[in-house]
Amino acid sequence: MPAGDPNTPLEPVDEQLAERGRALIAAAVAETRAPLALRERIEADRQRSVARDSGARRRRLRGLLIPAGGLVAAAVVAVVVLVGGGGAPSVVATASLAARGPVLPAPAESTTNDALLQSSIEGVPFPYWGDLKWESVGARDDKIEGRAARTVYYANPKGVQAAYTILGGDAIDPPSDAVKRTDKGVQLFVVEDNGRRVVTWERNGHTCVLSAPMSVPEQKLLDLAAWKGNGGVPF
Amino acid sequence: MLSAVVSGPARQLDPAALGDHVDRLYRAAWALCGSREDAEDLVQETFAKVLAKPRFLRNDDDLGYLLRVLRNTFVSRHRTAMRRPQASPMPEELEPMDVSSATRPDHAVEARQVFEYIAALPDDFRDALVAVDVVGLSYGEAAKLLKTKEATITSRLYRARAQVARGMDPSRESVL
Repeated sequence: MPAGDPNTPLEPVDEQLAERGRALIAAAVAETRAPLALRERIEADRQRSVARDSGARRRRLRGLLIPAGGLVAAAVVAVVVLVGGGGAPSVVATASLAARGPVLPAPAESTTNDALLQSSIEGVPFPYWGDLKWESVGARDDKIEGRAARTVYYANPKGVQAAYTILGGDAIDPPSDAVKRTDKGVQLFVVEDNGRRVVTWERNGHTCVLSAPMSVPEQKLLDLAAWKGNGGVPF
Repeated sequence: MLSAVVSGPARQLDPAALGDHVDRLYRAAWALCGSREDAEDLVQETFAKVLAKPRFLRNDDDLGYLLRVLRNTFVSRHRTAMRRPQASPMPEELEPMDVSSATRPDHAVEARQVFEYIAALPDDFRDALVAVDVVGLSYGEAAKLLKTKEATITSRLYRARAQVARGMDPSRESVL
């Protein structure tokens, strides 16, 4: 194990040795990710924290409303509801969920439809891409602008991850600078954001967002997005 | 000791965005503790502290703030542990190597060794290495956090990297 006094005079050090150390550390960093179990525990802590904070807010609000009378209370609640409703999220904001990483276990393949996973949001299921060499490796649930959003992470044999998010509620518009494509009769929109390629399209009136590093060719992402699994994936 | 860089109006740290930093904090924790199990506990405890109440920052450096909390928690835990009797697990109690976060078992073993060597470096060198090479801060950000000069960070990094390389190749002598 290394040891020594940091105040001792600097001795000549082989430049190559320092560079090798830097490369070793970079490799170790690149190889290491937080275990899924840790992510799950942190996410559970976060959700408890959010529930606790919202409970405290409700109690404070109730304390304000009761003395003020029913009419005033109704008016205040109406304002809170309207403000809380917010606007629609953007595709780019939805795609940014991918960077947060999986916190839930990978959904399993459906036992009744080999083109789907056992995961869906508002009736829109996620596809099973195992036959395309992209296995589901994790998932996460979020709220964005008050809407539910579920993301499933897929990884190819090289370990490259793609994130597939289905946004709850009505479909949203694609980014104005997105490039329009058509694949297997599906209209898709492609945009680049923060070093990732992002594809967005609609399924059953819901917006889907698929993002992956730029190393994944655009056509590959389009093929995945438009894959219908011989009719097993509802569009 | 890591410390915050303070400037600008206060804003609340967004708990929903904390997940963005889990990987980097886990690596930093491993490099501080030298043990995967301790690193997991340290990261969870750090997030629990941050989530315990709303946090207001005067800059955009969420990661720097979290790293500071992580290290303070590490130092506090270390001091507490030093006051307790030490017990080593029997070999049969040791968990098998978890390679789930590495693509190949041999890479996982090498990463573990690298983090063990970083953890055993003198504190000043270790902190510089964790801030720059493990977490990814710039030299300038690391210098501000560690309250030192960029040139000092450069020197510490240079020697610490060399020491890690020598540790992975025991035929070479120590330079520290």
